[in-house]
Amino acid sequence: MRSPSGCGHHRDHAVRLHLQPEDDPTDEAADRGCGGSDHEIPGWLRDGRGRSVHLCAPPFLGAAPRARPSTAVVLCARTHTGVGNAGRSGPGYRRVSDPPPAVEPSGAAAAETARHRAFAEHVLPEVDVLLRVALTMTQQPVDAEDLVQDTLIRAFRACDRFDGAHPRAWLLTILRNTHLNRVRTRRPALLADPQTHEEDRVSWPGAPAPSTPEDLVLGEVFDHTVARALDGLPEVFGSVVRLVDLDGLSYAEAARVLDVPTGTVMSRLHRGRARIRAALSQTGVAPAPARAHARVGAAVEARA
Amino acid sequence: MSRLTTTMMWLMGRGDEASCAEVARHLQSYLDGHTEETQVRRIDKHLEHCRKCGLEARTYREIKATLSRRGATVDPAAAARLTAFGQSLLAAGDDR
Repeated sequence: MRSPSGCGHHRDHAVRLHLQPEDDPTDEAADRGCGGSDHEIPGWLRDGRGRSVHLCAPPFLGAAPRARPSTAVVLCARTHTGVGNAGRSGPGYRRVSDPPPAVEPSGAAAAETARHRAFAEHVLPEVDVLLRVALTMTQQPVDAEDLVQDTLIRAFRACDRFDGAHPRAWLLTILRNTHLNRVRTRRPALLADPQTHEEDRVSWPGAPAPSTPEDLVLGEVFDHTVARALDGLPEVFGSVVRLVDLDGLSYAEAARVLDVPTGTVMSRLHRGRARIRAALSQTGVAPAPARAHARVGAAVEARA
Repeated sequence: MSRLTTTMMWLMGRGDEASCAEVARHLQSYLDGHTEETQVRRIDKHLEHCRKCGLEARTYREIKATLSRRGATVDPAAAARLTAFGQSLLAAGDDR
């Protein structure tokens, strides 16, 4: 660990967060963009994916004084190569969120303790769920991990305002908002290719082995038909089916992610599954729906 | 449930179970565990003897199971990295 010299290009921000590739661990790499010396407590965090995260200033973790209304969190997702000093925005820089709220100095320590407790109790246990949902939203493992990391940062900052009720729903709201912000600034080249979705989901070392040969033979057509039907669903239905059936969210949680009423989630889910069901019937691996069920399905379609 | 169906089911001593149409209306939320207890019992009872509805429920259960298998593969290494990152946020705060 070394102590960086400072971040002049973020001089106006109370919070400075730098990411540096591990393959460029030289001091110069960090110092190319860091010319100031206004750090109070410099430190490095490792995000575990070939990058070190530099928390340049402690206000990120605590309260920003009211006297500095322009403070903000800045996340440098790339190296500082080619970036000069003095508060730049541009390639490699993104505003992650607005500044943290001001807290009276006398309550700062208590607020900090409460924030840490809330983060450890409510946020960290939800990382798996967040990652699954992020994967559904981004359809790219790398993007999903970045999205969850941004979400964790936002959640950490907002923990002191969280009332402790329905933590998963609260986190999913942060995840959705973070995702929307990222999509707005996303390059077209990074948009997901639906054809590669399945390969991306399972392409990691140590993934569970496929089922036994018997299972594969018996379930192959069924599974393949379901997969194709899911990929062929219109996005409004496919997203709900993925959130509920793949990611395991409740109706209310899926409604929170999609920002729609719970009834809409139920309706879309019913229609999405019914279309998958119809594909199975057409393939011959499931019987045609019974009359009562077909009638209800038709009514749900007609109401939409 | 229509009045005629309700009456017939009472006459058959099955007034405390759902009809096929009722099962069809509530099947999805029933399978997702979003149905109230009374309704669950009525549907359970119907599924015990109605072959068509039972087959429908089994088909949807298998669809859900297939979808669930597709979604269960979160990269444990990525989850571990993110957990470590979250913990490092806490640790950095403790250093203050």
